[in-house]
Amino acid sequence: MNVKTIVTLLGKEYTLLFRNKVFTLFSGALLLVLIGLYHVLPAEIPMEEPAIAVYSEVDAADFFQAWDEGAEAIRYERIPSAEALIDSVQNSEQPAGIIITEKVWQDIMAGRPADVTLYTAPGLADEHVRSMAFILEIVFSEMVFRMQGSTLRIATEEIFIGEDILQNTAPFKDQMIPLLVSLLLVMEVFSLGISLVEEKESRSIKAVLAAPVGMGEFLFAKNFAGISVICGQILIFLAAVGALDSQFPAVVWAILAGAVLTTGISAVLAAFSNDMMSLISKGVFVMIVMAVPLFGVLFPGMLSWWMRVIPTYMLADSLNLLINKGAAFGDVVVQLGVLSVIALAILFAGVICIREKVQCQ
Amino acid sequence: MEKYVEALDLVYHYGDIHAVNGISFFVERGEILGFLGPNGAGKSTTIQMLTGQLRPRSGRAEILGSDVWKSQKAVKRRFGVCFEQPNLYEQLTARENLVFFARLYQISGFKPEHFLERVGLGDRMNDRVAKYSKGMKQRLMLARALINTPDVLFLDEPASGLDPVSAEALRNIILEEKQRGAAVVLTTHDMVDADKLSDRVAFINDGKITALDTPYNLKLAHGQKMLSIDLATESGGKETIQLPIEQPSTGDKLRDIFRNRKVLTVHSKEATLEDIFIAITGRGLAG
Repeated sequence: MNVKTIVTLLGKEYTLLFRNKVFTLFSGALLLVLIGLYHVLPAEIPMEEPAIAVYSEVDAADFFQAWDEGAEAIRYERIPSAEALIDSVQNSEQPAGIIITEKVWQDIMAGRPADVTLYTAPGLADEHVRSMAFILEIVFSEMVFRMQGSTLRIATEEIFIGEDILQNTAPFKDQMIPLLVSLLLVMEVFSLGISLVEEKESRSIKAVLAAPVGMGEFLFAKNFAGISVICGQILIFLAAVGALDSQFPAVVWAILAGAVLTTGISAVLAAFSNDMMSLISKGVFVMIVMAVPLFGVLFPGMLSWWMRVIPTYMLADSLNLLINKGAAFGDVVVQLGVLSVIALAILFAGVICIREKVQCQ
Repeated sequence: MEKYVEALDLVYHYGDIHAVNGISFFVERGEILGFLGPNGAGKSTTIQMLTGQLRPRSGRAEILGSDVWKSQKAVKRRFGVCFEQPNLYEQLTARENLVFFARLYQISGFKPEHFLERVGLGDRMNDRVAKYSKGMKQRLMLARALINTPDVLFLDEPASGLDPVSAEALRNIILEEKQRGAAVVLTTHDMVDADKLSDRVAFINDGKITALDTPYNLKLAHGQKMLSIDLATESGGKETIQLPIEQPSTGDKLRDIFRNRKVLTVHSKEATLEDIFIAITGRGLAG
């Protein structure tokens, strides 16, 4: 490969990329929108303490004192009447509520099993209802023991095998960073693909290859330009949201692997597209597949096994661990290694496809 | 004799379709070879093999004695290509297009103005190519093909889309390049261009060369010189008859016509290259 040739090709690539109004406007606007979006997202750390509304028909001062002192698992809010409690739960102001009736109180005081009705707000997830009922059983048992001057002799201890990275809970806006970075990458599939399709459609690639330029040099410059533009955009975004402090080398590696992946996918799409419309129609499908696992990083509960094998999941998960969970280089090295191998394989496939298609033109 | 271009039994096929089936020819220094054939005859595939864009399935393509496929970079520095379809960078100016390609050829002290003025684009050199007409793009592609002062020029329908004045200017440039010593491979459908410019012409049909000689020799071997006579009819119309010049009976027939009929015009008529192509291959060039 001749360095002068590659520098000349790169100069042409950058000139064309930034003279392409669609690319420039789309890339610039997307970057600004994502930076703006980050800054308007909630900056508070979400505190998900279970809460319950309580109305008591009897004076149960001892019971509530014991609850204040001993039960941290669930907080309560006292409601002045049974009707107000039902209303607040029905209107979803409170997720759930209980009424301590005279009978319930008598059963508790007599040490008999008490039937407590748990009222839940419409749409409350089944697992929340079950966990709340379970916690209440424990709280009531604890209260009874405390009022009798003793406590339950149950102690739990949590031991994390390895580092408890979930302890570093991040604000919602920071949790969104990996998702936004990955979305930026996914969206660039279009602009890079269009640049390649234009080259193919205008047959300018033929003119370049009739000059003393090898196919390898041409594609290297094309891909290098694409990768550098994407990396530049993401680094600007990360710098703008202040996310470049943690594990910089690993973050850069993840971005680079993502950029290689994006460039490879755009090359494959461009090889099989004759014009811009054809590229967009194929690109939308690919974009959906690439974007689905990104949301799994934000909402781990929705992740299926197949989402974890889509390379964009590995990218977003690695970035999430590095930026939001304080993970070390070693925690993501395997995942990033796998992602890099897949990205390089897709890029290689893209180069082969473009080469074959251009020769058949 | 210096062979600048040589095709040695070139073969190429796309799947089961034999696009080029054993083509051999050469072009000497300072010679223009007209490459004629209908669409799909194998012209473009042959040119693609000669310019290193396609690897021959068998046979060899040589430029100045070097194998095109094996010494691509060195060989590409020695030739220029003007494509049939415009393939310029439309978002760059004409000047930027030429400078970009000159850098790829690593030409030092390159002056794009010289080449742009030569093809009549000196006053539009800073316009983006997207604003150019098809003819202007064609001229710019010719300028691009000349920037490395090539020893071999491949011109694919270079006059396509040009007005008569520009087409004449282009013919002059081709002849200047021939005078300079360049070998020119001219692919065209325009029989007049081929006839005027080519030292030799090659007819290609179904992936094979069916005839290769000077236009004069081809006409001599395959054509007939005719007299075309327009006669007035009794009803006030016109009738055209043709007589072969070289037949002994033509003189007597001509005398009878002049004696008995009212002659409007008399023209001598040579066989065109297209007539000869049809005579040899049984099909027209337009197909």
